[in-house]
Amino acid sequence: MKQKEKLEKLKSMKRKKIDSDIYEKKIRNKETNIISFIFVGLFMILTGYLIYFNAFIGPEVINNAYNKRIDNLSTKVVRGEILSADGNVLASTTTDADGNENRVYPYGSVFSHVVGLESHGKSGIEKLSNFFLLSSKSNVIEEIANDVSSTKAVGDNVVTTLNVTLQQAASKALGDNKGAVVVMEPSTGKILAMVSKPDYDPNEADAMMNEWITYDSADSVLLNRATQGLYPPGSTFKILTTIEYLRENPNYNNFSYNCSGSTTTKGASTIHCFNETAHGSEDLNRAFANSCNSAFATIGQTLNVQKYRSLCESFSFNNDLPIGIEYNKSSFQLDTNSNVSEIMETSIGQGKTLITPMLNLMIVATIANKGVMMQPYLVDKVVNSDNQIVQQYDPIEYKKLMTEQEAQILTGYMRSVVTIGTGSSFKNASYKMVGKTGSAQYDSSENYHSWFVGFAPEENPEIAISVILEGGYTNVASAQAVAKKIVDAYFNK
Amino acid sequence: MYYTYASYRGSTIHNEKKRRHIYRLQNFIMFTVHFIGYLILYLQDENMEFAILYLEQFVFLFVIIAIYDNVYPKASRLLINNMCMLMSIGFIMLARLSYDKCEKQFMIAVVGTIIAFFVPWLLKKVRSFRKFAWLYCIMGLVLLFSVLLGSRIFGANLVLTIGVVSVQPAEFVKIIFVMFIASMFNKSTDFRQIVITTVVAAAHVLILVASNDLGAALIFFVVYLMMLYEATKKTMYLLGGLVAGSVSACIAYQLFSHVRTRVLIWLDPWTYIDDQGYQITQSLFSIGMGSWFGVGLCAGMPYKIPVAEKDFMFSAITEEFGVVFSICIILICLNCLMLMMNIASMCKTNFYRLVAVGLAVTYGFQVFLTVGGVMKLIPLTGVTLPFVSYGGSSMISSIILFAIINGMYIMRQDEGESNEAERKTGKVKVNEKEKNR
Repeated sequence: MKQKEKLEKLKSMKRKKIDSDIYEKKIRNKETNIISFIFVGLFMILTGYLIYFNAFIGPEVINNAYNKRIDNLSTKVVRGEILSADGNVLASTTTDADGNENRVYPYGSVFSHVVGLESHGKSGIEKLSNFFLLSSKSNVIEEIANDVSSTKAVGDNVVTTLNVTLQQAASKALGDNKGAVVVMEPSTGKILAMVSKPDYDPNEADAMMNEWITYDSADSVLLNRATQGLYPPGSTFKILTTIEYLRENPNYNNFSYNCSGSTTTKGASTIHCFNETAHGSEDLNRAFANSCNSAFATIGQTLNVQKYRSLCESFSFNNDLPIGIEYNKSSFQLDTNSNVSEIMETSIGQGKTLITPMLNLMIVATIANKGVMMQPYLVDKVVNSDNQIVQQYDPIEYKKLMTEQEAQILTGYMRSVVTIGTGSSFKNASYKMVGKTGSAQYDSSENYHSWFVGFAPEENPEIAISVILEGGYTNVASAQAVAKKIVDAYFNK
Repeated sequence: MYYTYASYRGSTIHNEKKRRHIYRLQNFIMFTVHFIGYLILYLQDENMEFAILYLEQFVFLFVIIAIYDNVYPKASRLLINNMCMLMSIGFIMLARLSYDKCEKQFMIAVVGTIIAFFVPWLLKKVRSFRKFAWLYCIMGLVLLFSVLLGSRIFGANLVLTIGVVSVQPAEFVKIIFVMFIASMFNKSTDFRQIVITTVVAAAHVLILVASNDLGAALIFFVVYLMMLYEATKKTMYLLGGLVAGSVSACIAYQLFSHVRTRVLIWLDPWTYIDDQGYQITQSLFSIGMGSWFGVGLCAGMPYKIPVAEKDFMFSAITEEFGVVFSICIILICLNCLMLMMNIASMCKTNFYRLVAVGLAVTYGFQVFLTVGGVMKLIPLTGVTLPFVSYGGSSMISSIILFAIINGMYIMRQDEGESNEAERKTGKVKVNEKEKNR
């Protein structure tokens, strides 16, 4: 708009000038004028875009890990604080008498991965919001005063979406197990808690980093398992298998299957139900609630592989996640060349499929949010030292992935998991939990990862959760027991 | 910081020309900017080399202005001032990025200027330039073709090496190309002539596309189109040419992988940030960090952009001097363009008018491509910012280009049209008023 105005003004000025200058008018010819105008236009577009870029796009663009220039700012600005949603300090910078700055993390290892490290290559929110933490948007007079007296300005503070109570509960519930927890508000995409174990104390990073980096990936404390850990999804993947089945079979209500504890297809491997339990006669709801491998391996063989794959890819398998902090892409490898065994294994969440706890959370949160996947986010707003808002982040609808009806059906099935199926830990909870358990075999031995994904309450869900427990066995330490402690903590707030 | 403010004021007034008094003021501001720039560089390093280089450049700029003032008193002072202003900005930034390159660039500028001093004189003496159409054509094509066969740098085979001197012929062919078209259309603008000219022009463009010099190819195309329009006065040709251009751009996109790569990086550089997108994203960081007033000379990291001193000079300047200053540069360039168009429209001779329009378009479009490219408004084409960017061929050809325009300006005055010559300065005010808004 501005550009147009400018051009208009320019043109009118020119017209006036030419009118007043009759002699010149005779000499000038039309073509030259038109060419001149074209170029004036082009240059005005340049100017306009430069202004636009600087005013609107620039700040977003430069907050990028590849932009080494930001580090330069730390010579002029004291890094701002990272705060929880209710204002508790998660990270701050202290300056000692000699002017040495030290980054302090009051909660120690509780927020280690999600808040991240400011030094040693940067990670988590420290990396995500690096530019804002090192910018000072206080008033101009103060800025000039700082410039003149060469005192450092106070950087802006980043207010996260994280909830200290939930984060502490999640960290405690996971205990000494390896694994991860992510909790999200499904209607907005706000991440309320994100824990990965084993963790580290960021306050000791300087002394310990050399040791930490020597750990192999299975024991790595630096890996944020919530977003970077890739696990076979196990039975939690039956959610996507079910959605595909619903779409291909409008008469899904007529589904029935008689489970004998295993199923064998000629020329392919045999699929066993967990503990080889024979589930007997089941409809789709019951097969889902029982997490019946035999039934789902059979369903898998009927699916259109091409469509199945594109469904999974629409749910961000093999694709980027819009979360801003470090993560790994989940992968779904089935295609039309895959053999029957692979199809059977994939449809029950084994095979070559790998998923991050974060993506698994986003899938259940989509069901909780009536089929709309919200873009997960960690930073609610950026405020300056006077607590005035510099930048506010609003919820963003990322993708519409299911119809409301499909979401409703899935919610019903996932409720059955709790009431009549494998998710019995929540059966007597004070809130109506909805979820799906999973146990994912990750090597040839009888070792399983334990999964739980779900949300609560059934109507108007407030939180969605995803828990993975590495090597956890259903009866020893199960993911649903961990999830229950955290969700309890939320509803007893 | 203070420096940026000073420059901003400098450029504002720079555009506010009221003949001699203003010219003096302009020169004063230019020298001040130049001096402060070098002072900062010197303070940064305490290296005497900067002081020496500064003195050399000071003398050089001073001599250019003085000589033009005395030998060619009728030359467009404004054009010369703009040229010197751009050069001095270029020198500062270049010295900041690489002292050696600045020194080399400076030597080339001196040589270029000496050559250029003879151009107006030559134009005055030799009036038969318009008769050598086919000579231009053959020269141009041969030069370009030799490049196509020649050595390669950065995936674009743009350099021709003769002994120790390596030149980018495309830079010079631009001027020859303009002369060629001007002489062709000067003879006649009937359909047959247009077809012949088009074929030859297309040959130029095709060779350039094949040698991956997309920027030059685009410039040649646009120059041809504008000159055709100027000569025939038919809007149909302009529109038809644009359509044909779009179609051939699509074909080029399908045919050449390097064209596709450029478009791909333009659409989404972030995915390729590690390799092909690295340059443009660094350039965007650079511009973004600069914000309105820049981070200050020597306080930024423009050297993070690969070949910052050539194609990305504009980003480097924006980072350290700020967007406001950069806009001033854009306006100075626009100012030059308008001056040239003015000179063109006042040329009585068809040939000279065509040459002036052609050169103006060459200059203007080149600025548009490089500035638009580095801020990702259009795909990157890898052309230099005349006078500011590092590159000997670019520098010399730009100086010659300006000298030719000046030569024509002088001749036109000699032809006794000095009346409105004085008035044309009024035109620039449009620029200045726009600026003050």
